[in-house]
Amino acid sequence: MQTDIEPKAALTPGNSKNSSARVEDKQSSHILSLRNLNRQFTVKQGGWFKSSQRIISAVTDVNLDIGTNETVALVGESGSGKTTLSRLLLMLDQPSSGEIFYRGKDLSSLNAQDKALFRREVQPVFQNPYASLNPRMRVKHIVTEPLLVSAKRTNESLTKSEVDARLAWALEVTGMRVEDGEKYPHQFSGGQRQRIAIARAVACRPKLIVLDEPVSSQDISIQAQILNLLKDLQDELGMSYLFIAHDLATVRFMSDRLAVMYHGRIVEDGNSEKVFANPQHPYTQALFQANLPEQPVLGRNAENNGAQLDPTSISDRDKAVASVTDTMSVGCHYIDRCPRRMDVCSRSRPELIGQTKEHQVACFITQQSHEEVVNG
Amino acid sequence: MSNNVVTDKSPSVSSDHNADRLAVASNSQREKSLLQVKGLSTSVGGLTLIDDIDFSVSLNQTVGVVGESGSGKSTLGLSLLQLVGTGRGQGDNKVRYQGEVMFDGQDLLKMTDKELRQIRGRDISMILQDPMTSLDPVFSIGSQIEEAIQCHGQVSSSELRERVLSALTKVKITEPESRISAFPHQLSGGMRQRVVGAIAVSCAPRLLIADEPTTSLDATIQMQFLQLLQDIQSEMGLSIVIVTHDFGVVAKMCHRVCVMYGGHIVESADVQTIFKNPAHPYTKALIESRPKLHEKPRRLASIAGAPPKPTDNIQGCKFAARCPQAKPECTQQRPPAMDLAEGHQVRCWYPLSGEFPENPLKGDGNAN
Repeated sequence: MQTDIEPKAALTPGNSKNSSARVEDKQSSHILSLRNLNRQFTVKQGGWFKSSQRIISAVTDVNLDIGTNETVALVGESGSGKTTLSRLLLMLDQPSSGEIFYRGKDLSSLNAQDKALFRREVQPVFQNPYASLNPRMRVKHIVTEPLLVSAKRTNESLTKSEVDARLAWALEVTGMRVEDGEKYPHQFSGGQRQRIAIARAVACRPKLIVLDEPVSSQDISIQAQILNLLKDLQDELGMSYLFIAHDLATVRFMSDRLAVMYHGRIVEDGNSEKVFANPQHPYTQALFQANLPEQPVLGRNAENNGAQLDPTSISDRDKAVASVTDTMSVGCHYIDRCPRRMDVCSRSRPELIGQTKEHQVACFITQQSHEEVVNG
Repeated sequence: MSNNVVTDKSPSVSSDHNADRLAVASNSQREKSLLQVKGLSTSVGGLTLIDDIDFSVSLNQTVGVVGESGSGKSTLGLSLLQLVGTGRGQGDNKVRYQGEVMFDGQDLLKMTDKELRQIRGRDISMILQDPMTSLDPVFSIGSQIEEAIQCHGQVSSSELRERVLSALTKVKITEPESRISAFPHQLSGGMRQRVVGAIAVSCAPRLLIADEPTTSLDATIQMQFLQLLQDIQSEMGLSIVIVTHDFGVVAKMCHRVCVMYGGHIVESADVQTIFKNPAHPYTKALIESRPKLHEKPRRLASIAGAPPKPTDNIQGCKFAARCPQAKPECTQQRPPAMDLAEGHQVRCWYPLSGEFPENPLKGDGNAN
């Protein structure tokens, strides 16, 4: 991959034209910060005669920072609120309360031009490239569309040669050929389609890409290609990633930070080396135990490498599913499935705290042991 | 490689192995083959989807069929019960099966439709990937299990209810009495897949074909469902063919593994050999390209290119275009399946371990 073909186009970040819109946060190197973010949905329930409304909290009190050039991984089961959170920070949805700061600036206070700039600098890549690419558009139009829309919104003029140069560059860095620009998505395999989706994202020279399960629909031999590509692009272009995934081994490969979500809350957050070395929250531990073994467990000479069952028994799990929507309870959300629940867990809810910012856990068990350490 | 690379549950001793090759009934007392597939090919309108498939499943054994999309792994699962494109295809587009699928001494490919219907669901049952589409949304789960039981004989209504309850209990659905009248949309994804499992085991099958049974499930639920399959297997004495793209599922479940590529089984061996000593470059590359939980490499090993389509007309080895050690002659002639060791077959002119006995492409016949 070569960066020297990169066009010095008007849209390249750092260009003086846009500097007024760029508010650098001097205090922190965080590109994006979420503060007490909430998103609630109102659901109508009941039949024709007796209906009631219920509030479901998809994202609750989320605090998360994404640093410059950092990859933050978000893991959790389906329904844990990962995708809702990603929609909030792409400005595809509005939070019910709480703030999102992009480079120190509150998203809700952005004017139209800043918003357009934000949308250029924060790009999504979705899970299924069969659904996320318009089948009736040529690849060149798919890749350059966000660029052109963004230029229009920010009143920038882009010459055709600049756009073409950017297209050629985006296709090249993602491992496609320039001729591929003339083709339609159906002419490509799943792996190549995901490359097109990534090319579309990088064409805008983003600061942050939100990757929502970018490889889970890919074939095994393609997954490694895409993951390597994402890492190379990050190294060369300097971007932050929010990497949403459920496969822990993939997360381990990609992430610098790891945030574990359960029922809309972040239950564990920290440096991914630390979390992988020492997962603290019982839910994180359950996720680790549910990870499939890497070496065979059957057959002769099989080492039994930890393929135990999630400590949650199936009936506990069913109960937890039944109570998913019961978000108004006061206790810890994980209490129904937790093998180590205590009395205090049903009375109050643990906050996400830790001795350092490097590793925070929302669980009374770990907090108790911290206090014991502190109090001698 | 040692000559006796065998698994606990599938001791494939030498005599037995030869029996496999000759496709005669197994003569070993310890291991009896329940299913023996020999030279199975499935084609539609002149397009060969799977080609020359040989494998066997012993009693109580779990065999994994691994491959990428388009490799023919699902077609293989469906071909065993001749369910590929059923009801469609006339004349030239008719689905054609060739070879032998010996199940308990009978060739399924020679059976009439009526005989086959008796086998399907009763002796061999199937779990498909997506429980949302394999369950009917307008019938209660109880009636869907009843239907499976009633297809295979008259039972009184009280016995019917009892069997439905026991099927639900077997898949660990709590309070089965109250769940009988539930509809699929009232259940979570994991429970739905367990209901599909209950339908599959309701007639006490001897072979279960599970086609990507956990792909649509969450990690924790996936682990529970796989564990459940293993529990049912040891409880009922079931053989399982599990079709998957995930080597983690293979590592958890399987005794033997068949790796598919481009409609062929390119390597088959016991699970330990596949992971520790793969002979086909494709198998090796696949295993190396998995991210690991306990290490963080700078880059992952990856396989360049994309898998072939059934419409691609490839003369030589189907993997040659992506193979790191392909030689020019690999694109000329397709390697046949050959025995590297007891119970270890590979389709490669230059296998990574062992050697090709009579390699026509190379004088000395040794790649390494």
